[in-house]
Amino acid sequence: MKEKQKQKIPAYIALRFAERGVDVDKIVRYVKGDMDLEQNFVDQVMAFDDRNFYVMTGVEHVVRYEDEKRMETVFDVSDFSSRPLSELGEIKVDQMVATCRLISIRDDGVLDELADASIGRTAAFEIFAKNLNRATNRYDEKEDGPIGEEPELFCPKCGTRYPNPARKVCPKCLSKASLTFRLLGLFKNYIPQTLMIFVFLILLTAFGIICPYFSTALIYDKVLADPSLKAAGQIDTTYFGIELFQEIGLVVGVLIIARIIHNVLNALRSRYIGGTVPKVIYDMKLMIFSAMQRLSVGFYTSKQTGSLMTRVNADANNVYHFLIHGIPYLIASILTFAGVLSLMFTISWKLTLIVFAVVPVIVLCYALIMRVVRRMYHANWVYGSRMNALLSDALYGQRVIKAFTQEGSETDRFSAYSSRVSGAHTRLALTQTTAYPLVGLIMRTAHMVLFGVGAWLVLRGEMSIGILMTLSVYLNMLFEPLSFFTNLSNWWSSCVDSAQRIFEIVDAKSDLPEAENPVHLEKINGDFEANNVLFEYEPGHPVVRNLTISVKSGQMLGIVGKTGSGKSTLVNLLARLYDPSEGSITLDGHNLKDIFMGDLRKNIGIVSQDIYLFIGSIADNIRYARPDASLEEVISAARAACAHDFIIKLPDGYETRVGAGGQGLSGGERQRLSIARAIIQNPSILVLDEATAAMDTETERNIQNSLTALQKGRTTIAIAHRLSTLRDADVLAVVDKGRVVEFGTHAELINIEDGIYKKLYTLQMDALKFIGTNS
Amino acid sequence: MENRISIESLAGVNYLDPAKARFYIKYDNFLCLDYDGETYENLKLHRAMPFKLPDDYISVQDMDSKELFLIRSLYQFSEEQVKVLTSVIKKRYYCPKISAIPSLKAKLGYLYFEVETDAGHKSFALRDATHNLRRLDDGTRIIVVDVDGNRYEIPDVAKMPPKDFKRIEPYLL
Repeated sequence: MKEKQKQKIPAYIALRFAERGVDVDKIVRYVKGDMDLEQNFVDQVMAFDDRNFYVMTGVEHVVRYEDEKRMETVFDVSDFSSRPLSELGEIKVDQMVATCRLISIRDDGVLDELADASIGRTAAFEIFAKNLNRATNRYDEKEDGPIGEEPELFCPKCGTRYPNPARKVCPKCLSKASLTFRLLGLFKNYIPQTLMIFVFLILLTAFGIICPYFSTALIYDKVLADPSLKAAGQIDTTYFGIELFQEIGLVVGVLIIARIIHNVLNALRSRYIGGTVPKVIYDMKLMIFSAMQRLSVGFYTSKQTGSLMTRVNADANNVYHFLIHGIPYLIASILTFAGVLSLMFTISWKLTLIVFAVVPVIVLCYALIMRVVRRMYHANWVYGSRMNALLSDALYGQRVIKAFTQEGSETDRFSAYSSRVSGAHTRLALTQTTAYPLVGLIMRTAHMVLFGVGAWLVLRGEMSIGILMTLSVYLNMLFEPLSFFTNLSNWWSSCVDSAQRIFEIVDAKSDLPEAENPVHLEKINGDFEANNVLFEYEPGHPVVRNLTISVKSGQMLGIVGKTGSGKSTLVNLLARLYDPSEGSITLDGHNLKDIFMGDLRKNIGIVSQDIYLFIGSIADNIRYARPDASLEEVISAARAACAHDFIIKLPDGYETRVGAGGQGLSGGERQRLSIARAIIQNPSILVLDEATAAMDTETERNIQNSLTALQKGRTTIAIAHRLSTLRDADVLAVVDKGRVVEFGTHAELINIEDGIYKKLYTLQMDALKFIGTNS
Repeated sequence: MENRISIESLAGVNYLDPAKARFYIKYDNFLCLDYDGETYENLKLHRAMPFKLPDDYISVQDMDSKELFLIRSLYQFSEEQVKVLTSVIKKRYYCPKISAIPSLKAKLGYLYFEVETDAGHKSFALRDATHNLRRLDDGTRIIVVDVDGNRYEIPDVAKMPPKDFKRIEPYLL
């Protein structure tokens, strides 16, 4: 038994095994399952030692000891079984639609179902199966590659299941506050501007709170006071000793000046916010975009993270709106609410108490409305995006729609979706137009009650009219922050969700890290060697295995194989778009992982099956890898790639705009541009992945001549279905199910009886002969 | 026109003749078939229309996922044979039925479910409710697919306890 196979078993499980006479120290591996063979949810532990295979079924739970304030995980066993390893055959994991099962297939054909589990356990079961096979000498490490480790599924801090084990983010442990602080950290380059925004906000709010006092209390109680009382000196008409409010004209003047100051402050605040937040968002988007460029191809193609990328723009906008509208408004609302309330208390605590009675009612109403309205907004959004998807589907598919005369049914489909959108809009509008006036009514009622009580106090001489008017204005000012606060938590949550997704991309470590001290290779000769390479996109499902090949500098390696046999993956590994899961690939004697990525990529030119043309001119697309290339070089490259003739016929020639929304080019034309792009790069290593598949035979022959010339002095790796394309290859590798099954020159491979290459070659030659005799 | 070849003969679908077939379970949980004098072992069954026609058009495949036959309908078989086939299909398309949702919490864009099913209590996380709470035919039957790809079914969401329905309702669109 190999020592490295050993796995530490948790104490609470070890205890139960020990109770059943198992020597825990001898247990090699264990795996947790979550179902019994009848597919009921239970907790299960499968384990093996050097002699037996064990299955322990029961319930795993946490016991809390209140007096000692500690927690402990316990496994209550309901069933236990063991059987000798000698009874088992080869262990496999049978993956079903939503479950998987561990099965044993004995050499005499006897099948055994050892355990069932939900599909999430597949990777763990695969690793367990490999280890178990190794224990029974049914696993060949050389052949099947070394065994990896089970991915971590639970947060080590709190034990919560990671929603996505590929991205170890625990929603329970991730603090919303820390994320918000990190978000605010984006403002660190704009501290003076941010401070100014704060100053203006505070000034503006303070001004907003004080103004009503001047415009109501002082006017009513001093300026508009009974002149006879004023004359009699019964009313003090001075304010801080100044006789300011004697003249109405002066009062109006002061109010106008106050309004001007208010508006200037407001404008300054908006200008600062408008001038700072977009810069912060620009920084953030740039940060996301640069992080995206750092990430590997694997990050984009993986199912889990692929969807993450599509949300980035929406997320950035979400954060933008919260920063530009949410936070400033939040600060203003808190200041207003606290300021107004404390002023009201100072002015009249009795009336403020009435307000306190109404506030919870209004908050409750708002919360209710928000809940309903938010759902409706969500429905609007979902239906709207579905309709947009349908619309773009129909626009892109016009050719097919017309070819199959489905215009009518498409219109019906659109009408059905569109009516849903309109229904959702109507419901939202109806709800809003009913609910908000209702809350308004409650507010007005509260207002009237306050006014009534206030009036009564005025009549009793306990309060002046001016004070009552001031309170009335303040009450209105109080309602606005209330509606904001009720919606704030959701707004904040969605902003934090967005920020979390953004930071996940920013923090994601590239799975193709640059070596600490990378080797700089000015000139690459192109000696490739792959040693026992294994590669898997998903654990337990190797796409390339046991790969050992070598290509000498200047040689051409032809790769042949059926669709889905792993040819393109092999090329991706050689170009280091992915790193091998096991084994190593060397270039000029250096491990690919140690070579400076820039040097490597600069020296590898790839012409792949999926050709991507960026938005821009044809010339720009050709010189994508070398933007400083002269137009003469561009034309030469295009000529060599047989692209010049079609480009020159286009009205805008090399300035024709291609890419999204640009000139439509045929598959063959795009492929030729892609070849021209590789030619101009002048790489030491040329990778041709079905480079001429979309061309007619004549064009292919022409390009083939260019490519043959181009290949001189370079290492070339070419994948092709048509063997004629590979006629000049020095060595050929035949790939089948991820393995190189035949390797050698054409002459060597053609002599292998029942060989795949021979079969393919004969088939294609026969087909050519057939065409020859019939044409 | 009369000479035109039918799509069926072109496709060469090998429909299974129920009269010649006998399915049986060997070694506890492995499906075998005796058909026209031949024996096939360790077979897999795949539904063509898992939601709408769960009992029709079922592909019989070998260990290497190569289709051997296509069953037109389970109802062509005897009751005993249907029992055998159903037990195997049920295992492959395992989908516990959710009867109650004691807790549903949204955290950082994921939904955390605590559910009671006919197979026991289960907690799981769900990503992207719009796609993973599938409302079949826009009706009340819901298929829930969690982050691992496990499937659960709510046979009729309208018949759930009102409290539980309220919990899930905001995410059903």
